[in-house]
Amino acid sequence: MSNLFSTLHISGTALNVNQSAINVVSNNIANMNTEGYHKQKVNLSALTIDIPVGNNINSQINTDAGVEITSIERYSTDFLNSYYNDQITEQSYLNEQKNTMTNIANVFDDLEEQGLDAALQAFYDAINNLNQTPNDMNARIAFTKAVSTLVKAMNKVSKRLDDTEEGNNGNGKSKESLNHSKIKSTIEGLNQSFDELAGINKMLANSQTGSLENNALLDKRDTILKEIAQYGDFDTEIQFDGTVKLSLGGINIISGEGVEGYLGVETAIKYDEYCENIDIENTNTSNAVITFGKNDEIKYHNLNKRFDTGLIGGILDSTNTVKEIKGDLDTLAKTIADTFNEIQTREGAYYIANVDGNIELTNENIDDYKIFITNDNTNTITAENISVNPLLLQDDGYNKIAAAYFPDNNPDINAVGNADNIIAMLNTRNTANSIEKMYDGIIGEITSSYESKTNEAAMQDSVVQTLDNKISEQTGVNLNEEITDLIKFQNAFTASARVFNVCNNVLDTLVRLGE
Amino acid sequence: MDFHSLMDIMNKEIVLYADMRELFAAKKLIIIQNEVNKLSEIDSRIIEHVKRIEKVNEERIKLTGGTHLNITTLINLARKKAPQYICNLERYKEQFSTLSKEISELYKENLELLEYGISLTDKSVNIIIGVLSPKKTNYSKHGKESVSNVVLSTIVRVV
Repeated sequence: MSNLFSTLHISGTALNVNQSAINVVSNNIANMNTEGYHKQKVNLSALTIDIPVGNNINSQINTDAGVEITSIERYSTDFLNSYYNDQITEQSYLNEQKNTMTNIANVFDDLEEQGLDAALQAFYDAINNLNQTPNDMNARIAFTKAVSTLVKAMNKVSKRLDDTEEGNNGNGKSKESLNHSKIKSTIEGLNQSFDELAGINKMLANSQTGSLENNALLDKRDTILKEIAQYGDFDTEIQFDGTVKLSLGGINIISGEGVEGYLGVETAIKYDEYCENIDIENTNTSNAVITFGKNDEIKYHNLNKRFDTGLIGGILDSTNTVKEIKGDLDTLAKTIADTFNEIQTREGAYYIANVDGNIELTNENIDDYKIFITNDNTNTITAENISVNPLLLQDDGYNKIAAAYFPDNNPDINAVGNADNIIAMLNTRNTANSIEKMYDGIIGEITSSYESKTNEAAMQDSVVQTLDNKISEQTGVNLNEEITDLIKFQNAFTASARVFNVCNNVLDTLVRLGE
Repeated sequence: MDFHSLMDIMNKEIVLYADMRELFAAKKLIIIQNEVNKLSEIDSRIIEHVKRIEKVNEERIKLTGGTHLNITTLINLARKKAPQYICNLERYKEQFSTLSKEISELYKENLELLEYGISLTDKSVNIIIGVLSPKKTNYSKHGKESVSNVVLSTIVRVV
């Protein structure tokens, strides 16, 4: 190879390399703050070409011809990325649980002034007033109003809890309710990510490994995988060409460029009907049921168990959380109703029969004297259906409140002022399992659960943040580091350039010697 | 002139120049792969090697009466005074000629690659300094305007 050819060719290759390397540096800096961007560097190697010897085109020798770009290396940490995605899944789950508990806590906090706590307090205050003046009309009317307020407060809390759950998973019955729920929009978002990942797979399969374009696609792939990891515990398998296989508990979702199917969501009631038809054991506990299929053909009917973590797991689990709190609230409502209905209707309790103040036993048509009844003709009282006996709210209904109590069932007509029954109602406050203590127990449970979920979520946020920093350290662009490296190069190159002067004389001697 | 000693010295020189060719080839790879830590190491070895060559050169010049004689002249001298060494000297001439071409070529390649390395790092440093240095603040009727000078490029030319 002639010196002239060598010089020109090396200049050409070096210029191209120079341009590409500058582009990579610019790209690194331009994307310094881009989330998911991985730092890149140019890998170079000596370029060799085959040149013919003499006139025989079949006779060639391999010789140096400058420099070429082997690859544009992307700093990546596959192990850390995988671990990071696992932690993101857990983070999303815990944050969703925290959100559910925050919503539940807000239901009780928002109602603090006019809610259950205040209503219970007002209810006992009204009983106390009635105890002072048992035959006073105003005290009796105030008592019935306090009962109404307590009932409304319980109905309201129950409704708010239902709304919270409906917002997450629908009401379990109506398709329209499901369509407006968080689980529906979340599933739709996840399906979009599936399409995006399949699109990236297609582009990756057709791009040149080690190029800027390929690296940008790998960044996008990792960003989408990070998004998908937020939804649930998906399995990923990176292929040699950078494409990724995605599956969920053995169900293949994406392989290569194709999406095998999409996630769907059904109401619990529809799923129940389906289970009756095909005799599948119904283990669903949420209002929503996740399905998987393609073109309206469902392949898997209940994937709820596969979503035991991640955002979707957190949303599905909110049904149980809300149901637990509602169950406690229903027990409270039933206890209130049973406790006061029993005192009101027990043998020996007396009410005022007429405006003259005559008293009569309450043991005839006993249901007419109950304070609390259901508003939906069912037998079991819940926080949702508890209501005031409408007979007590009629014009003279207040007279039906049994204030007096004569255990020997022999009323003394002169003992109208006897408030023993009201005292019995008041004494329910002092028992070990009092209604107020039950309510405090519910609030305590909510507070404790809220704090515990908040702490767990905060700890997991911290874990994810630490990993994020670690990945950024290893793959992110650090300008200080870049410029330090470059200055190191500058100094090393400049020092090396001086060595050429040292070699000049010896080379001159060699050339002259060989003449 | 002691041709026997001259043969020994030239033999040493050929070995030393052959080693130098290897050092230059190694340096080329180091420059290409931007292994700056190895660069100073190979440069030190080259400098040490140059010193050794210079020492042997001096010995040869001393042997030839303080004058630098090229190998063609030495062959002519041998024809008159010691023809038995002509064959060796002709072989040395060919070896020196080959080494001379190869080392010169590597020298030029290394020099060029290094110049481009310097140019590349200079440009990269300027890009980063441009990003790090405070921007001029422009004001419009809407208030302060922030303009990024960084241009995202995805152009790749692989040779």
